[in-house]
Amino acid sequence: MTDDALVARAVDGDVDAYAALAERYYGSCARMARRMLRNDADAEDVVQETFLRAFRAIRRFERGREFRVWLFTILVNQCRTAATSRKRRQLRFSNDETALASAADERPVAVIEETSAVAAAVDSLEPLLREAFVLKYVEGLEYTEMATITGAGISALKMRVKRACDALRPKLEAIYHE
Amino acid sequence: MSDVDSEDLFERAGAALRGPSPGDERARAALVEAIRAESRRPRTAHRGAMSPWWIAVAAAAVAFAAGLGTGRAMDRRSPSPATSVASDSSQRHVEFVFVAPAARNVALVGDFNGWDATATPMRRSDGHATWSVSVPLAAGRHVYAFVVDGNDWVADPQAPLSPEQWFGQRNSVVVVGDRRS
Amino acid sequence: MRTPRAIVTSFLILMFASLAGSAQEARLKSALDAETYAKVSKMTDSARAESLPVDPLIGVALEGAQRRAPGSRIAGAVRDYLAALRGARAALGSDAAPAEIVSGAGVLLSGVSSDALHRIRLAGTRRPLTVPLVVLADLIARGVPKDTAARAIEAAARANARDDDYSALRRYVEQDILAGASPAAAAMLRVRGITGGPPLE
Repeated sequence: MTDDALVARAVDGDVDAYAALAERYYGSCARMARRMLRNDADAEDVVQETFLRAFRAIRRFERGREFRVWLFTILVNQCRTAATSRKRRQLRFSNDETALASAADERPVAVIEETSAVAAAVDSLEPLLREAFVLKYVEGLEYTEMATITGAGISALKMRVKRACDALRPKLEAIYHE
Repeated sequence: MSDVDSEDLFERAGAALRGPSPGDERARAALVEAIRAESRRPRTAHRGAMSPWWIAVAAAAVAFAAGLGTGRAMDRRSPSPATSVASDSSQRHVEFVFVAPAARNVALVGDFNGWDATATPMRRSDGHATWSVSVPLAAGRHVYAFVVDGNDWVADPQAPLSPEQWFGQRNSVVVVGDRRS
Repeated sequence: MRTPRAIVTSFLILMFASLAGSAQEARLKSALDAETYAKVSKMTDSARAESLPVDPLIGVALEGAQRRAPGSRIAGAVRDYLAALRGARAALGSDAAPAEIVSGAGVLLSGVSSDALHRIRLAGTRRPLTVPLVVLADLIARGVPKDTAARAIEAAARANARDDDYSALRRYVEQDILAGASPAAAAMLRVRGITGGPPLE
């Protein structure tokens, strides 16, 4: 069933339809949150809060809007809020988290290592650059969609992506051309 | 490195970060359970705003957009002498709607009835969740609120908030357009 | 020279006006203690003499009475509201409609400066400002910083927005805030739907 069909049912109060949307988008929200918060547990909390807020607001969702963009608008704001309140807490490095998770991880070692290295590189970007890079290259969003989600103008977003790419280039070259 | 190579580099990095993570399955299941639990929570009068979309729109359309061309306000001139006083304006009937399934009684209060909770009781309708009343209002800006069960003053969740908080609480605003504007 | 018919009509209008006014006054008198009623009456008389809207002042006093507020608080509220009405008329011009003055008073009470209110007046000369000012106050009440909100409404007024545009702006911003967006970002982004321009900086 398409997003539009599920959303239409969810707007009418169909909880199963909303749950299906949540299952469909959980993964992309979770990976965005993990990059922004650099902590799996916090990311899981933020993603759950995002979906619950969206659930409470779904009946006001205006048809014709894109659900995914709307959802990401909520998510990005939740991530920003959570990041602000966590400033004083010590951050764990993503490498440590990947190592902890690897016991239950069935992916090939090479994939785990690549993911871990790329994640560390992206995580080293300052927040707004990281956010722009992930929305563009991980989530594949258009600049117009990114503008809606972040509230920033398109030229500002392009500048952020450029600066992110400039900072990442040497690190990614090192990862992929070893 | 060429621009194309650069772009490939970043696309490849993006793809690397798109893979699923261990723990996602468990978290996804926990999320669905949380959503179902949220759907079972009872709604109070304050959360009446989250009721079906058309009620919210109806309340917004009549309580706020009355006189703004939505066609929802019942346009009936009041025959009372007070109308002839307002020679530069006219009265329009505005319907106020409020969703409060658990309420025993709901009244409309505002600057048009001296904020008297006994003056304008609302009528329950539509499967007992919706309360409504239609009142004649002069053109202009009015403030109002709902009084639930005799002592709980609640702003209209669908309407603009009044900036004034004279007595600790904001009310809601309705603008009634002049027939001739 | 007025015709006899015009004179009779004017008399009837004045009579009904005083009847309606008397009804409100009577209500006020029975709702307030003597001291508070005296203070409030003095202020409503001043407003009437200055051709400012009186009904909102009476409304505030009656609201206070119904909410069982102390007399001093009621009188204080009426005093502050009268000052805001005066300020709104100064900012909006003496030809502002009563509803515009009342909405403008609300905007001043929200913390927007007289200058900002005056700029909105200058920007939006082609349409009544009642609804834009109601929306402005609502945006501020929902957390949009007052300068940002005022600039957004000014931009919309300059773009000759209609009441429906302001209504939609308010609804979208409220929805975005409910969904977790920052109020400032929501307002700056949504006004683009009216002005068609870049987001406000």
